[in-house]
Amino acid sequence: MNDFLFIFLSFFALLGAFGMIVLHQPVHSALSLIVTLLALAGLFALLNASFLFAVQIIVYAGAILTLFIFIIMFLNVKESNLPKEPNKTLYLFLGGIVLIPLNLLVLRAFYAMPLLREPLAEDFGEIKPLGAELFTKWLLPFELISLLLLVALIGAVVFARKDEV
Amino acid sequence: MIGLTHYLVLTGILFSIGLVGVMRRTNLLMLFFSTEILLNAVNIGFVAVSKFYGDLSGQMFAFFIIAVAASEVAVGLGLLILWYKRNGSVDLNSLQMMKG
Amino acid sequence: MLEPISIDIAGLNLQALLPMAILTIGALALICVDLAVKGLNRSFLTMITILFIVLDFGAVIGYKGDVRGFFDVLLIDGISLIAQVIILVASALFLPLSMSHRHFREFKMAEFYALFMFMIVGFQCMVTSDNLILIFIGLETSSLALYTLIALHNRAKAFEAAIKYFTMGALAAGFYGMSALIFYALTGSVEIHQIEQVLQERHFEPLVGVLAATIFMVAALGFKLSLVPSHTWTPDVYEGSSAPLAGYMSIVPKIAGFVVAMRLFEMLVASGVVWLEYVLYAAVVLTMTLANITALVQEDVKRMLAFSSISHAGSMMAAILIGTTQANTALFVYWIFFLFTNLGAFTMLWIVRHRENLWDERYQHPYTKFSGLVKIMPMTATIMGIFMFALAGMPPFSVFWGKLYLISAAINSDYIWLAVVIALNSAVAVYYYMKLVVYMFLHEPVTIDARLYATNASTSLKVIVGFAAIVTIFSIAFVEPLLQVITHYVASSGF
Repeated sequence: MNDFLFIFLSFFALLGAFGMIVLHQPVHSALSLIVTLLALAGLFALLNASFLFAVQIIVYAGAILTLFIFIIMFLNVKESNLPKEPNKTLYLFLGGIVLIPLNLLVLRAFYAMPLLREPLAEDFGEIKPLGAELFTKWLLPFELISLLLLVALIGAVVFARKDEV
Repeated sequence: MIGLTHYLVLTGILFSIGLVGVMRRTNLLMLFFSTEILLNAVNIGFVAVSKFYGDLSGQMFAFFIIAVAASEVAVGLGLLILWYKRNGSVDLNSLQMMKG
Repeated sequence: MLEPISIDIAGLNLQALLPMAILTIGALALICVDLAVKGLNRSFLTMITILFIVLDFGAVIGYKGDVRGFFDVLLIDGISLIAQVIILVASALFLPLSMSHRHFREFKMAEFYALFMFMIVGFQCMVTSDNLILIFIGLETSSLALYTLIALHNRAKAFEAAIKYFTMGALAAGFYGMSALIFYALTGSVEIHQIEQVLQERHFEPLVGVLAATIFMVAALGFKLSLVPSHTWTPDVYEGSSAPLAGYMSIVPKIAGFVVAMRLFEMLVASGVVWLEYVLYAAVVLTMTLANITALVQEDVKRMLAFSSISHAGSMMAAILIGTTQANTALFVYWIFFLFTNLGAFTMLWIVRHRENLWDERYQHPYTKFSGLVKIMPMTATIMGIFMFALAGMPPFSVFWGKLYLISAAINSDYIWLAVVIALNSAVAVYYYMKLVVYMFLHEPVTIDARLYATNASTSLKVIVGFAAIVTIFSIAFVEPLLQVITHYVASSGF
């Protein structure tokens, strides 16, 4: 059952990613990316990462992608103003071919991994041990993330501000 | 039996798809989307390794990458809107004022 | 259901957080003050920021705590202290350039200074950490702040520069994540010292994996450090941003990237995994040579300085490649002298900046602008000439000592060819630095109006230039003590 779910979800993840880079209209690409993100969230759930499953859907698909689609509709780029991408499929195909050696290198690296199979704790990936670790060992990065979000917030507000004379 | 290798293969393929997208699309929005695919590929890899090693650091890293991706998208789209208001185009080829 | 978790506060070593905490509190205080009081003066904002940077500097200098801090996420060893000192001194020196004669909108905004301080916090986190996660967060914080700072300049070229830098940075983040993933999968840890330990125990067993991880990391750091082939958009970024920010970008992000590269690559290079050595060797030689050759054909002084910074960063990567204590000391000494010289050069560009492109329709500082400057403004021309001589590596100015030490480190470690390449590149570089000197001293002036060249000059800019010039000229007095101090710190951190 798990195996079937994995194959099903990863098929949709790859399909969505592929559709995202091939489709011309930004809105179609965004919707395709949402398919990928939801499939990946499902894979997180399969991997005992229940918190990440929820965070992926709420933050990534729910906030980031919504922001993207909002901006796309706000920009309202007309079909004729979209950059013409001549021979796009040809270039993408050529790009894929060029990247195959890199892909093979990475895959070969992955095949040769030393695998430690330790027995998993009962509540591995549950929210409680995750929280305990997040707020003890990774407390400093966690607070710095809030700083990072503040920097992004200041940046976004400053860009959008009207110039005061 | 689905093992770690299968998840890492998925990571590799998604990463390559994202890389092709970054290199080939001239629409700036598509460029940003492709970087999201890159980060997601890395995420799924981290969570998979984390499960198979029994170590929570991978899930932590994935969580932090999601937060970083969110902030990057905010700043990137802000820059894109500024550029669009100035130039009326989201084409990568319009970033040509300082060529060479 | 809820058991109390007990954490040993003393074991946390909170003193290690003090430098970054000071700057964070400063930045937050600045934003809150800006909410309450309208129309803050530019000088006030600059001075407050410099005050906080000085307090931070004091906290770093007076640090007498443990090497590890905060659940072992922070690592404050010798090179981290030196790098923080360099970052803080560079920030404190580049900031007064905001008080130019002409008023720019971005320097009146308190957000500029708050983002500047957040950026410094990001860089400090990058160098005081051994943990791949914290390095990533520091990298992204500083990069996001830097993109915003570039775009605040509000010219079309600045937007283009910010978008190009953003795209490079996003790609770098993706590569960094991939590299961290492979290291994590190979060793089960995200801490660099543990990664090294496990890799050495296994004798770098899955060699393909180690290679893949290192190549991704070289690509990621290559974007930050402008190594070939990720250097293509760097000159555009420098040309589009304002001169102070371009000068800052040529110094501080590079030193933070070098410290991370030092932590990661030195062990890998020393382990004898020959492929990595060749890859780095090729990257170093290509960076130095290509950047020099492209700088020869540039027509704009700012772009020329950008390519020259890329070339200098390439020689620094050579120091990491060599990997001995002497080479690492050479890196820091070189970078300190390079800091003052580049500070001076970019400040001079900032002084002679004019609002319209009077001399060339695309470039703001073409070579022809500086023709015959010695007849119009002899002091300006002399100081600019001094900085050009210093950058070219002529004795007895500053960069010469750094280069000398680096070449001697290369020869001491049997990297003879590398030393020859560095020396050859320095010789080639002399041409494009001297080109500017020739234009200034030997050509006829294009215009006799001296006021056109000093539109942006103000007291604080002149003070900064004077300080940089004095350090450059009298650097011979600083070399010996600097070498001693830095060797002590570098050796004590095991590099």
